[in-house]
Amino acid sequence: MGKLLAFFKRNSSELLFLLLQVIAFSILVNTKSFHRSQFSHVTAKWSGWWMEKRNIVDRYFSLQHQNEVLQRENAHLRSIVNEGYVLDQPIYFPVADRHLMQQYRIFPGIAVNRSFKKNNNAIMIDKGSRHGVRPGMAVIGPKGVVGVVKDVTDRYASALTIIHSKFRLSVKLKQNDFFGTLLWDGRDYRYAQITDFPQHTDISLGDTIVTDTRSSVFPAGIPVGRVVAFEHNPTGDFIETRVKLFTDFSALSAVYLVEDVLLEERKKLEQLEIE
Amino acid sequence: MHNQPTIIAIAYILGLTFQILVLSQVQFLGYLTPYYYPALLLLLPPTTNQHLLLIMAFFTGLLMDIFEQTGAIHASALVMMVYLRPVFLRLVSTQSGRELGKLTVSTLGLKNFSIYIFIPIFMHHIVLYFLDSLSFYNLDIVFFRALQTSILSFFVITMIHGLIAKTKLR
Repeated sequence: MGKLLAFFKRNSSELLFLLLQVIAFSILVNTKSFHRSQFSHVTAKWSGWWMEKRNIVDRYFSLQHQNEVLQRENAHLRSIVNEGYVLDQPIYFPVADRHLMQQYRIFPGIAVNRSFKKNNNAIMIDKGSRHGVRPGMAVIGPKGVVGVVKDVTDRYASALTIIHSKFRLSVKLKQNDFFGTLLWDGRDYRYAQITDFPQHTDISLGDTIVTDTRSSVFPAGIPVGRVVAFEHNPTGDFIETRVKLFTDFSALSAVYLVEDVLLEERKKLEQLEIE
Repeated sequence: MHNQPTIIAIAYILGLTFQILVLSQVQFLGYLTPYYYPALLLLLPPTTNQHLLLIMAFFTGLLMDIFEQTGAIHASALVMMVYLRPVFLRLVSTQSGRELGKLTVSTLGLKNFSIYIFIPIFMHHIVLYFLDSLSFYNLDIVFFRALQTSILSFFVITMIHGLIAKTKLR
């Protein structure tokens, strides 16, 4: 017993060091297991408070930029709604009153916190389950794709972004429908990669990349980025493509949450296929 | 004349506030954030109790983690750095810094001060970024980013403490 006490006394700082590291690692593993969100439940309350206060100040600094982005988007939307078109045909077509059905409901949110310097980046959005946000909903920004909602609390939602090491996104070339998978190599938050375009893909610099219909999360045709470099892989059968992302994750504030009304129906069908 | 522990406590809180409110908001070259707070613990008097230092490191790190929402990576990296502090002290002084009394630019000299700051900071940043990525696949990115950030942090720390030393000399 005396020897044991002496051992503890002699190695007390080593033991304290180990104890603190064990506590730190258990917190780390709890908050960082890859399938859960990065936001710890213990500290979420304090962090949320801090982020909200900081965001109040932060938003003023980027007001001008955010306004420009939203204004540009408004201009684009105004140009494609019905008022932007005139009837050019002398013949009137019969119009079925309800031939269009809304598949996606879109509502706004604000990214109160965002990370883009880490390997696994997420954003926190100021809308939660009480506003109708559910895990799996798509998040898009004024310029293009942002990410997917992962965890939801009462008032907040956290979303994984394209610049997360585990994120995969089905994309295609806008003009010719060749499709591939977009992923991020963890280096520069402004660029992502597509490594599985087939060798015969008709691709050129400056091509626009949009989301594909194969994506069960995003509506098809949401802009993702622009091809800035590509290389025919000599050994494989694929073209390696570097994509400049439209969304600037270092200056992201206004986002839109996309609810897929037909999701339940598709899920039901998938369930039937499995059975 | 002066109440030494009170002054140290006030300086500590000021430094931490500066880190959280100012430096943590900086994004140099788009993605580099300087970390000043490890210097707060490194430059506490050499005679400070090691147990007290470890516990302070843990809670200081945890505070940073709460503000940056990073689990406990700051806490872990900082505890590791403080645990090795005696080793770093032996690098720059003969009696583990006890003969210096205080650790400042003027007592250590600029060369020793630089060694005593840069090596622990670099180690701290490597642990920090490694725990952040939590994988062995992109060690090159971790290393490079730690090096870039260390240089930035080092300049910030040296500038702050160089200025303090200069003001005191006048």
